[in-house]
Amino acid sequence: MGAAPLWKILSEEQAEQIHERALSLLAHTGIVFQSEDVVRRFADAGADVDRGRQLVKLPPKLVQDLLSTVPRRFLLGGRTPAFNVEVSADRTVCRPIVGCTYVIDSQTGARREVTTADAEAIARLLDALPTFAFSGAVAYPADEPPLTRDVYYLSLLLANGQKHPIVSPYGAKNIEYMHRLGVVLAGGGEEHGRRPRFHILTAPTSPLQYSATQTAMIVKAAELLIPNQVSSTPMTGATSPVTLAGQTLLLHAENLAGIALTQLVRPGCPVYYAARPNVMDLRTGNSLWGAIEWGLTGAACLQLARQAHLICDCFGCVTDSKVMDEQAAIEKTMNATLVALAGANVVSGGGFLETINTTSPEQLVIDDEIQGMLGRVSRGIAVDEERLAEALIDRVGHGGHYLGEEHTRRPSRQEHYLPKTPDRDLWDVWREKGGKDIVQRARERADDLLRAEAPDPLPEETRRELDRILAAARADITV
Amino acid sequence: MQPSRPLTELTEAVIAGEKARAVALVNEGLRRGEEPMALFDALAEGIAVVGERYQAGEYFIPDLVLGANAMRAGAALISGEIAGRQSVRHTLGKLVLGTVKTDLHDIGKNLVALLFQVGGFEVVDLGVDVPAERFVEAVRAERPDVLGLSTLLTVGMQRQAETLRALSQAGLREGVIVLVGGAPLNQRSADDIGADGYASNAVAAVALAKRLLSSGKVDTRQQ
Repeated sequence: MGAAPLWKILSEEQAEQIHERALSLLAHTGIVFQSEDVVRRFADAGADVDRGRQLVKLPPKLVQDLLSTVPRRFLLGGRTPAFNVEVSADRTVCRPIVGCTYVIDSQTGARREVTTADAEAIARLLDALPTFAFSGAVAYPADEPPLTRDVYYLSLLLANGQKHPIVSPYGAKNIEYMHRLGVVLAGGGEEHGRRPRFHILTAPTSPLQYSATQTAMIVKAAELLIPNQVSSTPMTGATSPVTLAGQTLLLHAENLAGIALTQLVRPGCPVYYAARPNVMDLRTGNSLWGAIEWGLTGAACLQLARQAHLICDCFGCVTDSKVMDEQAAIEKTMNATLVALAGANVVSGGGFLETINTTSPEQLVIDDEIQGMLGRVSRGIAVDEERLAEALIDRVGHGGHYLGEEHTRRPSRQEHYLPKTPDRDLWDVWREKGGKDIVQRARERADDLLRAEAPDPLPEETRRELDRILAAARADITV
Repeated sequence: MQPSRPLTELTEAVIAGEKARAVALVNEGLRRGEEPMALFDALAEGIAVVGERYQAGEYFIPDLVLGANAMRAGAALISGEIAGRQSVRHTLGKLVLGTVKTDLHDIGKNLVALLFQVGGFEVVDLGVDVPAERFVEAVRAERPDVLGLSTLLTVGMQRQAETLRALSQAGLREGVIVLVGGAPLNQRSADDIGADGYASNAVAAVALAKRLLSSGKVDTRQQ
């Protein structure tokens, strides 16, 4: 997919205005980093700091200088080079949701907690679904105690999947153990720096503060050259202004500050910008992850990130629906289309239901289709002599047909997206084939893909090394 | 004594969430010799209407917050006058709550605090990033009926469990109903760590607290 925007929600003037205001907010209101060390580093770099409040006021010039060293592309390493993915400001790739707590059981249809077996199956399924360029910690298994669940999950992903995963870590110490896992797979620390085998996401606690845990994680990832997705998630009316412009401004300022910190720690370390414009339901206070404002504000933030030469991730296939129904399809398709048309570099979030609490293999398959269609949309309509086919039209003439033309056979697979799960049969044929809906067909596709041959297992010695690191993490991380 | 403006106007100020007007009306009432308890009742009537409208879906969260702010500001001016009487007449119980250690998320917790207040509870909010010892101290000092432990983080469940252990070690566990809440939790995790109850949202938390208080401390799984 290319990432040239087909749609812009803000005018150039509006985008510039919001960016200027974000710089001004960081300079005048400032941002909290709960870390003496980080506050000192910013002070040394020329920021105006209040050590007691751990408040950092960043001069615009400092922010701009720090942002100037952010790479515009970097590599995410897979199990083999065939699974490497370049993330860049010039293209669009998709990745799944990270951080669900529940899975919908394919046998019973009931929502239940995630097991190790679910997590392993999802990793293999993601390897097989073509639109997911990289993988992720979709649903955290509850059979591992909470404190080291992130490290455990990464070991599962590395052992069972071939695509590169993104993981949401719980602390800086956890990241160190994750890094040790990655280094084993990469065959050395330097090699891991060039082709990291996993990456992480971090987030401020809106408004305008990075907690001690998140600040420490940002520093640790930068030091270890682990790519970091900085993901501000302000909630309208609760932790941000209720207006979309105000939310965009706050989100942008927070992300710029977090990204600036990565470059302060290690200039050139891989980092990217994620827009998570959360919406509060004004009736209940519930956090909504399928509202149409996600796509709108996501597109606005994307425009700001692009203007600042940053790689930008937007949530695409989002929903608050509890089940795989029309609500899920509407919310996912509307929002994903908006951010894809706006040229998001990473369209993420595929596979979730129920406000990122729940996932299912079927939903991953369905979202893979939505993303496939969006990939086709992003390619647009190519216009050249071959495709215009004027000579062909002239030759076929009046009342003929194109069925037997070489021209019809040749480009059809590029011109038309061929979906796997949507039904395209006529009624009687559809009935004969069982009269299934898309969820049933998605279940069958997931089962087929999972029945396919498993990837080569990791060498026994590598497995044991991962287990040793995991055991060390469990013994070490106890509070 | 001849009040220039009726008490209903004070009630309306709370319903409309107009803090400045509520404060002005309370001051004016006191100046004119209005009975403080009558002023308090007018405020309480206002917040009760706010609560009803919220439950009916007419009011949204901001209406609730602004109404509560107006009521609190008005009540603060007369609390000295009616000390002692208020808790007897208007308090269903006392809630101490906070977001657990290492977690800074306070929106959900604030919403719970607010709905407990609107629902007739006295609320002591310990804020965010609250270590187990602070919860223990607060339970010892405040003697609440209900303790609320909030978190948005998966590791926060561990902190909630630590707090429950610390309460037991201090011999305070039996005297208080402990409710837990937060996105990563469910009834099972609440049971696992030995909480008395779990609620998935603020409205449900108030209902659960009322139920547990009226029935005595019980295992919520049997409800």
